[in-house]
Amino acid sequence: MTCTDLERDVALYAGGDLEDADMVENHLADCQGCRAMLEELQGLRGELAGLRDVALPQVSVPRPRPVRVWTWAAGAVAAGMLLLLIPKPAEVAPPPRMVWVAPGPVIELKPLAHARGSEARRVAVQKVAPDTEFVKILTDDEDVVILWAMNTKGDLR
Amino acid sequence: MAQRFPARAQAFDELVRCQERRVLRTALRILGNLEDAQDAAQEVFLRLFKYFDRLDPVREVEAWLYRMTVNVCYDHLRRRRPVEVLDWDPPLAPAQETALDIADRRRLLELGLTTLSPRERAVIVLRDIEDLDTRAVAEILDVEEVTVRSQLSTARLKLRRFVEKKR
Repeated sequence: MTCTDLERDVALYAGGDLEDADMVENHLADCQGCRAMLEELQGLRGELAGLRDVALPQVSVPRPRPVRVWTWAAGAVAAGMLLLLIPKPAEVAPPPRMVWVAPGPVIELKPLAHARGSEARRVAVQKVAPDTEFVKILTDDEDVVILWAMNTKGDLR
Repeated sequence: MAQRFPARAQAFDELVRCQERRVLRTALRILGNLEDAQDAAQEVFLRLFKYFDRLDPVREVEAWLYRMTVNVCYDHLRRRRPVEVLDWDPPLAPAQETALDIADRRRLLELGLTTLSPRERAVIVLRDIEDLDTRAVAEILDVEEVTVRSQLSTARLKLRRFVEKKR
């Protein structure tokens, strides 16, 4: 066995990490060079161990904070209350706006440009009596306007 | 239930207080700079916080913290761009060249550690700096003891050569 062959074993022996040390110890007894290397390695280990005791700068590791159950519960309740306060979207369309139209002279309804079918034509030519009042009902659709015609007795025309 | 969480927080705080220097020191020796070591230590304690209830605080925590520290440091080293080791010479007066003072020797060792591979560094930090036995090191690193010995001998010889070359 040469010194090079035993170099790794000497490195382990320096820290007491060699399981079977007989061969290395026999070699060390006869080899001054390897004894010197052993001393260096042991010195190195001592210096490495010294790094453990080197004062580190006073730094503190930020610590995570546990969140308590009641905090979660309070958060959940608050979130629930907020949800209750938020107005719900309207499920039905708002009623059409109604505009009162005062009674006036005889009105002849003009056919709508896009009116289709017999019903539209019949309405278009109908003469309305002077005692008729109209309620004009606006809807969300600009093209749809409902005219509600009635006489002063409340009869629908 | 209300009593449980203050007790848990207190136990966690106590554990961090006892272990933070050890975790920080180990991370510092593996990573080579304090800023990265602090980041790593914080990550380790965040993970500890997550798994705190599953660990046996007496038997398991220390080894778990070492293992987690090493793993987090490996992650940091993987993300880090390779750094070329500078040909560093301690600034000494000619009369002092043969006798480095303690601070310079420490700096030389710290620099030498950065020349090792991450695994060699972890082994030498755990065995020679933290003074754990090879079996504990093997368990922490999840390798065989024979692997630890192999990396240990390599690392010690590399360090010796580095120090000799710089003296």
